[in-house]
Amino acid sequence: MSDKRPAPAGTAVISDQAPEGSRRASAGSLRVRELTIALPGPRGMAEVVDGVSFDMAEGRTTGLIGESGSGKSLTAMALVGLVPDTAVVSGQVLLGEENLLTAGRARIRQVRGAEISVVFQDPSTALNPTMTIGDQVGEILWGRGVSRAQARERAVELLEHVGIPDAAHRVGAYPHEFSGGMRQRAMIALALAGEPRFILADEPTTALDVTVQARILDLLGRLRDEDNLSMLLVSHDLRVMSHVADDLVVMYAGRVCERGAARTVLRTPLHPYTGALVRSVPSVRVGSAIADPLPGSPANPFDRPPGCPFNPRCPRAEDRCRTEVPALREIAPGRLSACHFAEELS
Amino acid sequence: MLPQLARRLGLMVFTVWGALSLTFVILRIAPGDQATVQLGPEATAADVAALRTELGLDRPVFLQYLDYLGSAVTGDFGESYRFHDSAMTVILDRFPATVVLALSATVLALTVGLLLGVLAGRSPGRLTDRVISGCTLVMQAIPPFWSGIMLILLMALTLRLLPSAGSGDLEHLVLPAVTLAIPFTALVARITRSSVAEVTSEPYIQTARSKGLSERAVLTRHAVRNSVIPVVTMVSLHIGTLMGGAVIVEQVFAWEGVGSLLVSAVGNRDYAIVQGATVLIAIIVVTMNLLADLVNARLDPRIRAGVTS
Repeated sequence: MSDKRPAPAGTAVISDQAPEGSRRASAGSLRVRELTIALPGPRGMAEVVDGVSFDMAEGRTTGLIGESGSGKSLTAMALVGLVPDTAVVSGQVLLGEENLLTAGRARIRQVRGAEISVVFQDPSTALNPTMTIGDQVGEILWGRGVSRAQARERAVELLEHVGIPDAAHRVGAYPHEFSGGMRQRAMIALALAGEPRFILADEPTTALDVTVQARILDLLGRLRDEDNLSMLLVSHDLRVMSHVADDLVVMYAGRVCERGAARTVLRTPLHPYTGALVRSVPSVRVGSAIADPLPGSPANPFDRPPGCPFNPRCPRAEDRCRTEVPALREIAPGRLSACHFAEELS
Repeated sequence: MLPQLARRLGLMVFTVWGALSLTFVILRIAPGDQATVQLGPEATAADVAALRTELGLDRPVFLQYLDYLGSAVTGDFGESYRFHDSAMTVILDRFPATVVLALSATVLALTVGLLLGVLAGRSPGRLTDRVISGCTLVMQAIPPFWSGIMLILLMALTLRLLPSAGSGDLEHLVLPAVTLAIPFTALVARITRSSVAEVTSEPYIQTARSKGLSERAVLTRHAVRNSVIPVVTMVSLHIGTLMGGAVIVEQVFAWEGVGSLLVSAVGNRDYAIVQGATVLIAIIVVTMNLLADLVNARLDPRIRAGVTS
C-alpha cells in the first residue's frame, strides 16, 4: 500500500509518531500502527481498513469519527481481536511493547476486559437477556479466584459507581427490567469490572434517547478522569465528539484523513471531508443558517475510487486527486492531514 | 404467574375435552361397531341388534355422548369387551411400557440432537454443519415404519445382534427406541442448529467475548441457555407426534405398550380402550406443553414477567 502513496518532497510522512498530547507517556498509550483489515468482498479480499495509525493517549478521549462504512467500528474492534473470522488483519496494535495482533488467542483473552474493555452500541441487545445484571457485571471476576458472592458485592459497588440508584437491589434484576440509559450504565459497569486501562466505546449513545445521551457522555468523561482511563470513542456524531473528545481521528473509506487535537481539528479542519462534516451539523441557534449537508454518498470501502477516496464528493478535487493517493502528512505540529492541498486549507 | 397458570389449566381441560369428543365422533362415523365386530360376519341381524341394545348402542348418539362424558370425568371409560376388564385398568397396565419407550427415545434424541445441533450451529456453513444438516434432513424424511423394518433387517436378521420383536428387556427396547428417536433427533438437531446460529450472532455474545471468556464459557454460559428456549417449545409440541410414532413403532416391534393396544382396539372397535387411550395421550401432550412453558419461564426471565419482545 505504501508504494501507492509517495511522500511529496519536503514533507515528512508521519506514521510512527504519536499525535499531540501523547508524546509525554507513550508507555501508557495504546498505539495503533498501519492497521489494515481485509474482508472478503464481491471481488475478492478488500482492505476495508487501510493503514490506520493513531494513539489512544493515557487519560484522554480519542474520538474516531466517520460515516457508516468508514471502518471506524471495525478498527476499534480489531484492537481486541473481535473481528469476523474471515478478516485478515495486519499492522500493529501496541500495548506497551507488545503487538496484540500477533500475541495469540490466549493472550488476547487475558487482555480483554482486564486491559481493554468494550462498551457496545446498543445495550438492549448487548446484554444477555437471561442473566442478571449483577452476574453479567461480575462474571469477569469469576475466573480470577473471586467467589460468586464477592463478585456480586463488587458488582453492586460498580453499579453504584456508574450511578445506578438502589444498586444493592437492582443487582439481581434482568436487562429488560432496566431502562435504556440504565442498561448502558450497567454495560459501562461491566466494562469497568476487570479494571482496564483502556475503554473502547463503540457508538455508546447512538441507541439512546437524546436526553440520556448527554448523561452517559458525562459519565464516561467522569470515569475517565476518576479512574485515569484512556478512552476510544467511536461515533458518527460530530456533536458527541465536540462534547467529549480530546483528540480526533477522522476516517473516510477505511483511511485516516485527518488527525489532531479535537478543538483545533474542528475549528480549522485541514481536510475537505472534515470541513464538510463540520458544516453538515445543524446549529441550534435561532436564525442560524441551515446546515449544509454533505453531497453524495459515502465511498464503498469494497470499491474505493482511485486517488483520494473523497475526490468524487470533494469541492476542491483536481486531476491529481483522482490519480494520486494523498499521504497522511504533518501540516502543523500535531496536525496531520491526508489532503494534497492541506496547506491551502489552513 | 398464577392467573396465567389458571388460564392455562382451563385451556388444558378444554383441549382434553376436544380430543375426547373428536374420538367419540370419529368412532361413531367409522363403519361397523362393537356388536358387528364382536359377533363376526356370520351373525344374524337379530343377534347384532340384540347385542346393540345390550351395549346401549341403539340409544340416541347424543345420549351416548353425555353418558360417555359423564363417566369419563370420573376416569371410567367403560369395560373392554376384549379384555373383560375396566378399560383404564388395561390401558394403565400397558402404560409403563410406552413411557419407557417414549422416554428412552426422548433422552436419546435430546442428547444426540442437542450435541449435533450445537456442533453445526456454532459454525454455520462449514463442513461440519453441512454434513450434519444433510444427515438430519435425511433422518427427518424417513418414516419410522420403514426405518424400523430396515433396522430389523440389519440388526436382527443379518447381524443377529438384537431381537426383532417383543417387549420387556433392555435388548428389546433398543431397536424401537432408536427407530422412534431418529426423526426426533433430526428435529432437535435442526432446531438447535438454527437457534445456536442465531444466538451466536447476537451482540451479547460479542459482549461475553469482550470480557475475555473462553469460547467454552461463552457457549455454555451465554449461548446454550438462550438457544435452548425454542428447542424446549418444539420438543414439547413434538411429544404428540412422538406418541403417534410410538403407535406405529410398537406395532412394528410388537412392543406391548399403549400404542399397539390402541391399534388393535381400533380394529376391534373396542370403544372403551380407544377412547381411554386417546384421552390419556391427550392429557400427556397438554401436560408436556404446560411443562415446557414452565421450563421456558424458568430459563427466560422475560417470559416469567410476561414480556413479549
